Amino acid sequence: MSIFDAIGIAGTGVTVNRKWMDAVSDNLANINTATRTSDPAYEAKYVVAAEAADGKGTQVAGIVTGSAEGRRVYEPTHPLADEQGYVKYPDIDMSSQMTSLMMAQRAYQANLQTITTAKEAYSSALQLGKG
Amino acid sequence: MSDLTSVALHTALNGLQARQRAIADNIANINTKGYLANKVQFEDALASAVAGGDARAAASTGIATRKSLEPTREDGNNVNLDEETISNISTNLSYQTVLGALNSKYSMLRTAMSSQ
Repeated sequence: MSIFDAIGIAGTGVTVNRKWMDAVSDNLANINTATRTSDPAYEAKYVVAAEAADGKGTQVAGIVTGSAEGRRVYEPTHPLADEQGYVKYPDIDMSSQMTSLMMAQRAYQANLQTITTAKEAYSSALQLGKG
Repeated sequence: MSDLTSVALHTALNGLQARQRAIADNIANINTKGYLANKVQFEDALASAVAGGDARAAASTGIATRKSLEPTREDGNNVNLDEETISNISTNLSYQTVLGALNSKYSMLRTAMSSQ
């Protein structure tokens, strides 16, 4: 561990939350992606955060994907509709995605604030003995 | 530089730096399932070492990092962002204060060395 620990640790938080925001924006971008009922639907991505070893912050332990089953919707005029008139949409809940987006954004900001505060303290330490 | 004041200030700096690290870790893990917040304690031990007037005891004051046992949220995580943010600010201010005191100490020594 270096002397600038706090900055590195908060940096891991920034990375994890950015990846989370990326996953959520990908899910939201694909919320209306239709597929043929014979094909798998778009699978929502969920970032799983885990504690890094020895108190070195956080990390992405893995990305869990949602179901490829999707929702069958009756849209006979859709170009991808099957003989019965159904298309498949991904099974993504808009409100839970928006909530996740806000949580990721706030956590991202909190980590950036930690970096700013740590930077202030370290800058003062670098002035030690110059007074 | 092994007088009680310098040693105590040095120990305080180490303790505050450990706390700053713990806060960064807690905030980084605010959305990690099952994570318990780390709390750093050293002030009471340092205060009693200083009260005893023993520089060696002040130098070897323990800086204890413990997992918080506060009630957890539903996901098993017990980091409180408000508390961590406030602790971050007060740790930073204490850190600056201790640095200021160390600077005064050094400046006094410099004056003593140059005024012969």
